[in-house]
Amino acid sequence: MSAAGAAVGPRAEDIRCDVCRIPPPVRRARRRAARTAALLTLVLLLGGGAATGCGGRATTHHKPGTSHEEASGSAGTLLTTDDGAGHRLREVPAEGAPKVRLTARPDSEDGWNLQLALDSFDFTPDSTGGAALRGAGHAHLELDGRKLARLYSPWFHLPAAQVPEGAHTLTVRLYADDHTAWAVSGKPIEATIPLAGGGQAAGHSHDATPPTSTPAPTPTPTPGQGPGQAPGQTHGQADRTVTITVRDGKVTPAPARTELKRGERLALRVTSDRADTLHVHGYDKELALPAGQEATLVLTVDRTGLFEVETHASGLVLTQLLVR
Amino acid sequence: MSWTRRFPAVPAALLAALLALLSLFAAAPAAQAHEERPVTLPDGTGSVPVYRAGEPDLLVCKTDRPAFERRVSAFPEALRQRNLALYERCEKAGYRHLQEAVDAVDRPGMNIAILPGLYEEEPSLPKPAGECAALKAPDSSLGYQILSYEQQVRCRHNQNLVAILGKTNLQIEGTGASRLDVVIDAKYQKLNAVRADRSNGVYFRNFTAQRTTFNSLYVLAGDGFVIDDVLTRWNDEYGFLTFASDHGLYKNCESYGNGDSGIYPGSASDINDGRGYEVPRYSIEITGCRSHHNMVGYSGTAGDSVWVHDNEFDQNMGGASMDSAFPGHPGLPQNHAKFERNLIHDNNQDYYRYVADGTCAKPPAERGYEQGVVCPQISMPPGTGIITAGGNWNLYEGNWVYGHQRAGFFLSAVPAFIRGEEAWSKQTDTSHHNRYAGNVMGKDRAGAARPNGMDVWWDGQGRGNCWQDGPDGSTPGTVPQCGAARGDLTGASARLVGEPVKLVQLLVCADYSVQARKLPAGCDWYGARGLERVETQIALAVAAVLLLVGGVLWWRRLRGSRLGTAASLLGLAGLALDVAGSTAGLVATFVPALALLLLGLWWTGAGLALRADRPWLARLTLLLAGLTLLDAFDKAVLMIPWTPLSPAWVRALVALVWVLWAVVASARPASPAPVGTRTPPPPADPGPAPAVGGAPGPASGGARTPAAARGAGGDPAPAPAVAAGGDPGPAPAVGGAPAPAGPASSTNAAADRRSDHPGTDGPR
Repeated sequence: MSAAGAAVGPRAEDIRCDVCRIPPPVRRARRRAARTAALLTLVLLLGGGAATGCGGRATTHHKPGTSHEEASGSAGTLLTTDDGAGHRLREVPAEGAPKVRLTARPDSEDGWNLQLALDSFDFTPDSTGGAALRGAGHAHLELDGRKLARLYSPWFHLPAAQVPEGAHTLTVRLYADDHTAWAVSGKPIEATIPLAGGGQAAGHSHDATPPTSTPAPTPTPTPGQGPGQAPGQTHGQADRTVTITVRDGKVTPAPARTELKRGERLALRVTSDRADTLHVHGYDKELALPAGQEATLVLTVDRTGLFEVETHASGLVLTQLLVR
Repeated sequence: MSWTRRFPAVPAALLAALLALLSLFAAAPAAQAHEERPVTLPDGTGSVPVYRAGEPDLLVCKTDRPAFERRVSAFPEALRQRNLALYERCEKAGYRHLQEAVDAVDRPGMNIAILPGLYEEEPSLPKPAGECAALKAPDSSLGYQILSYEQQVRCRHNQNLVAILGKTNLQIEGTGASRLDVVIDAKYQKLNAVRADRSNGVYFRNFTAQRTTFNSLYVLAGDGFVIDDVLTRWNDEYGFLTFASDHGLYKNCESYGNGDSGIYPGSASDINDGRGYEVPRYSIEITGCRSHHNMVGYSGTAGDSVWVHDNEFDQNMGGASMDSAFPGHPGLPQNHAKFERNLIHDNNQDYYRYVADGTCAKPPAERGYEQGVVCPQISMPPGTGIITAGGNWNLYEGNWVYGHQRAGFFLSAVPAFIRGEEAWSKQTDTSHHNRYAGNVMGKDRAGAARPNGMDVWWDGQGRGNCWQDGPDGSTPGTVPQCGAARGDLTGASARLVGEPVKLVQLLVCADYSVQARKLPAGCDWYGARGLERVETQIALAVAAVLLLVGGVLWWRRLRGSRLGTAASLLGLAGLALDVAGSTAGLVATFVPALALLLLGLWWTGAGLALRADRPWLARLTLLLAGLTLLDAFDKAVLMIPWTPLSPAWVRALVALVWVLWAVVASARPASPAPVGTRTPPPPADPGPAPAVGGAPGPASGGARTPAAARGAGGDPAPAPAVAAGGDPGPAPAVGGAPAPAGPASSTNAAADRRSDHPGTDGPR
């Protein structure tokens, strides 16, 4: 240590330090000098003027670099109102404010694929928890006001199982890194679409940002039964699934009883080798069976008793439902 | 940090002449620039502070209790209870902003606890007003003022979100379960998030600081500091900057998203200046840290006596760099860094694209740092593990260095005038005694192969540098080898200056400016490929000139000689290989040396064939041949130990003369010797000596005799001796002399660089 002290001692004079950068006028001169030196060196060493073509210059240090311009102003104004879940609203001017639109398309397997179309907004998952910066943050996805998920990207898969049967409202709302909700004119920046559980999404969203006119949603065509039906809407939330295949007039597995409790949801997944119609007696539910394609009928067995499930055209009994 | 503006060394003698010239060109201003106020290195009497686990003296928390309870709800129960208890206390007697707590520190050794929350330090944010808006202070080139310490005290929030000025042994600790539970966010509104200035013994622990226009955590002129489990990210320049400090310890830290480096122990106390490898202590220790997705993970302009061990530097443009390339840093030239057992890998990011596409021209808050944008502040070779641009006595031992597209190790010199020191004796004071030994190259820790583009890129300058045995790909092709003990090495060299082509390349590459969006074309650091690379362009130009000159020489003077023809063919192959060897993929292979070998053989054969006819050209050719073969030996077998310059430099000069001479020799109207009749002239050239001088005219008289014997019909009287010399062969009277002027002038560059084709930069 003493040795070190000795080594350090002499250095204790004021030493000019430059945390790496250089003030301009002086530096520039120096830089010019250095460049000249470099070029001259080359010229001399290479024995001629050809080196000037190499264009190098030895700047002696860090050029000014990026602007280092300090940001100013605020990222909106915190309002006293909140989003209903304790997140305060953060008001920003309508001009340049983020915008969001929401689209839901039925997925071919299960549920929906949601897409957020965003303007003036970036997802910043890595800085979540930091301060609010304009045009950045994340989104919340809500079903009837209940938060389903935090979104960090424009695409999200919503499983059918998360959407109970019936009509619902799906909402996406934009939040800042500090979990305040971006708002314009005192209203959160959000988009909503109606969604039918056990059915299908109604289609496009409102552009809810500026709370102005909301274009009527263009509902996507009802998938209906048969091939167009989105299976996910149905068996996704079934308590029981029974899979049956009809081939050459034979039913597999062999017809038997299916025991159920009253109130359970049952999915019947039937594949027939010829076009037919599935019929559940007692409940009088029908479903078109396309040839060679699986179709699924979902029903809630809300009455007790023994009910036959059969095909109309071929007149086969597929199973019997024993509901207690 | 930042090494990069390095510029290869220049021989001291030349430099002296240059400096003299410079004084004519630029009235060199005496003023010295600095971007920070003048500071004094600590006297080294301090010590590394020790963590104090006791109850905090001061508490900082936010007011929203439900939010706080939510934040701590998932903590381990004991920690949760402790935080709830602290919150209880803080609600009554705590502070709402860290700065308020710092201001309340009234004695050495106090502890501040920051409870989980987001700290924006709103009272610090308003723009300077009144006196603070009109401080008299010099401007830096970056647009901020260089304030004195007193000005910092008076106007502490001009540049700092949290200013810790003149406190002793202060400890600031986040009480969360992880460092992300306490976030100090400058929102790009200040140069520094936390500045500890003249505050010896400061201890930072368990929090995050982020989003500044310079650096997140800044320790200046401190003797004794610890950075423990702190995360910094998204800064224009640095995550951690500790400057002109001693007795420092970084541990378990993390930094990413910085335009310069994550970790910058700049101007660490220069306590080992003048020592060899054995040193009594290091001024700063860095361990257990990870620095990733920056321009460089670690940088050390004047990073003296820093012991860097067991860290991970990955996914940057470069893993770590040491340099002596910037003026005004106390402790230059850089010396005595020790890197041990670090994982340095996959530093292949290319952030220059954000400069090219204009992203970096936006204000910092809009660049998208949080989404992975980095704006590289300076020029550097992406795809490199450890860069040393001007440094001495550095030890790189036992590290894992793998997966780099360009090079594992990169070493070059930086002459002192680059850092503003013009004493002649200092111009070659870097890079010496750097030892690269016992590292695992091109393999990850599990032993899987993850090769570097090449293991070693070296400009060839310096003495006492050595590398471990068997680098997988190196330029030059052979490098001095470290012995078992520090200081032992074989194949040592001691050059004053680097290889010429590397010098040119570095010059071209250094002309980068992020502000001007200037990305030098021709430099593969910024994406130049194939023919765009300056190295390949030079090789092509040289090849073209030599092909032309060599071709004409062959046609006019060597055609009749089987030896001459065979040699010329070798030369042709050599030129082709020379161009090939300049490409990124082959530069670190045997090809460049093989090209030199073939060229050497060409000139050997040509020299021999010319001997009878053009003895002095022949001698020059043989000299060139010798130098070329020597250069090949130097690059493939062993660096010649006792020369202050690479043979490439001498060869370049000789080649230049040779080209001119060969052009002249070929251009002379040859004596129209009877075609087909080979009348070998008497081998002895009676009057060579005078002829050589190249002095035309009278000297030729003597020389003419043999020519006359051969039928000197077409030799106009005043023929210079050269031409008069015996023309052994069938010298046909080729009408068109190759326009000497064109090739000759373009040869300068060509000849020169050709001398050193292996000096191209590494592959990318």
